[in-house]
Amino acid sequence: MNQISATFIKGLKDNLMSISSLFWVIAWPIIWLLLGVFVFMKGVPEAYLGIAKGQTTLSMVTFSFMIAGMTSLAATISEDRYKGLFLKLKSIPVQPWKESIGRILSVLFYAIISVIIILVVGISLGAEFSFTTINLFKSIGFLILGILASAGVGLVCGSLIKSIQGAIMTAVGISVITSAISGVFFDYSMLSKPLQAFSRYWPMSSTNQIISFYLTGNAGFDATSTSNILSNIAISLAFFFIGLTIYTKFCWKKE
Amino acid sequence: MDSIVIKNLIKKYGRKTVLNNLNLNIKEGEFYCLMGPNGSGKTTLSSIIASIRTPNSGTVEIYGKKPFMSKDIIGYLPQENFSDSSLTGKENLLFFARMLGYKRKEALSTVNELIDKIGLHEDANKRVGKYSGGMRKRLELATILFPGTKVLILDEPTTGLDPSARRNFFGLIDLIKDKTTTIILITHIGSDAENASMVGLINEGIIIAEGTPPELKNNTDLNNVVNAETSVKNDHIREILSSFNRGEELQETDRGYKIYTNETAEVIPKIVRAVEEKGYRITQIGSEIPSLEDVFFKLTGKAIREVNK
Repeated sequence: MNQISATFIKGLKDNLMSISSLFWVIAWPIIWLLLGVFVFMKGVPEAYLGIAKGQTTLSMVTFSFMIAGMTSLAATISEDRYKGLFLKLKSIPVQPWKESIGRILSVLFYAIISVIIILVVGISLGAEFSFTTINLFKSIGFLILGILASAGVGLVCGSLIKSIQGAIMTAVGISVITSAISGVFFDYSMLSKPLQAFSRYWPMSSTNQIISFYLTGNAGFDATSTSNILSNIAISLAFFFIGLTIYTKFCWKKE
Repeated sequence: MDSIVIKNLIKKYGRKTVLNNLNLNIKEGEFYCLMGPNGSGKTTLSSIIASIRTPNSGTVEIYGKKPFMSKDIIGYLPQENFSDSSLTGKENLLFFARMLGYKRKEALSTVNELIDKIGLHEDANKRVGKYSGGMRKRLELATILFPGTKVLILDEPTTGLDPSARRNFFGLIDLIKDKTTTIILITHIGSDAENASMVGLINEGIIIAEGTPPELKNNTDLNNVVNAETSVKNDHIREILSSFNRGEELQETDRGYKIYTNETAEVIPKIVRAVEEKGYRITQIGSEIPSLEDVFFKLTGKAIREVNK
């Protein structure tokens, strides 16, 4: 427990002290949220405005946890490896799985903080949601799955790419490009057929659709069908465990 | 009593043999320095003792146990600055205390004691990013001073430090030394190695000589060295100076050459005259007591540090 909490506290402080991380994870989605609400929603009928703002808020929530999971994790892992922290940790009786859990928990907590801030900003700008209590809890569960899937990508980037800048830029690239082509930033119905398929199976956009369906009643299709839910759970967990395996193999291996 | 026993150790990276059937015994409480040039295998050896790398064959025993079973008594200080620059010095030490299994309260009191020990009391709550190189190294040294550590491995700890920070660092090591703590210093700097009670010179993966610093110097029959700084460095000057050299090879330095001779008083004026007769200039010349780097050069014909051409 000591090792998990030590890594958790260090990881959280590292993220909260990093201005660039705070900007990309919290400020950047809020800037887009403000642009969405004040610039891009001028023609939206009054009756749909609250829900439209709600959906934009959820899109930015998804973008935020993607950046937190993918980029922040990749950055801290590659930086720790660059400065030799793993060499040091390998020489003391640390269990790699405990260090990994602490690291993941810190990202999870950081992403949840950012999600709460973005939701508060969205609601204060007039975002509306319509949901039942059970759907709220289901959404929280899928949110956590989405963060874990993003963390899986972050673990892979941080473990395999040795240069710090390379790891960060790759993770940013993956999150921005996949957000754009999977309909996180705009409506599912606007995507071509192949991209709609990608959108349903890419765990982060799939999470966005499921949460959107639960909290606003609209995702462009029935995102909560059994097959969609099961594939989301399976793919998200697969992303996470692949990331974890690569991380323990590459960052903790004995040379 | 030996704290570390290494037998027939072989480590290869691909086809390159880095440790070549190396044998070494280190006594408990000894301050042992492993000195050699880059690529001689000293860092590989230290990382095998610290359980970071595994050998291809051979054994390492620390108090009779394998390295990975001895992690709780080994403190390894890597060459890199591994501390987190966005955290304070105290937060960094608390992180390592918790990683070592200390509970919160216990960690705090131990860390406070360590901070006093390394003399960082006033700067403990400053971010490490604002520390000087010497302060940061002292902080990182504290990560291997938690109670129960019996073997300290210091991998090139003074690289990049100025002379004053190096003196401070070894002052701290003097305070740490006791009869039961074994210290292994990895370095290529002769003046650092002089602090050790025993020095092993390592070259191409084997220990080529071992002894106390005075023993090593006496065994090479070197009493004096002439250090000559020349206006230029070229084959012509090298040829002139070689005629005064007792060793087989003339050692090149950053600004000139070292001439191994025991008759410095008579030789120095002759050297100056011989060089000037050929139209070159000696900018500075003097005799000095041979260093461990000179001993290494005498034994191997190789400079331990790379020279600026």
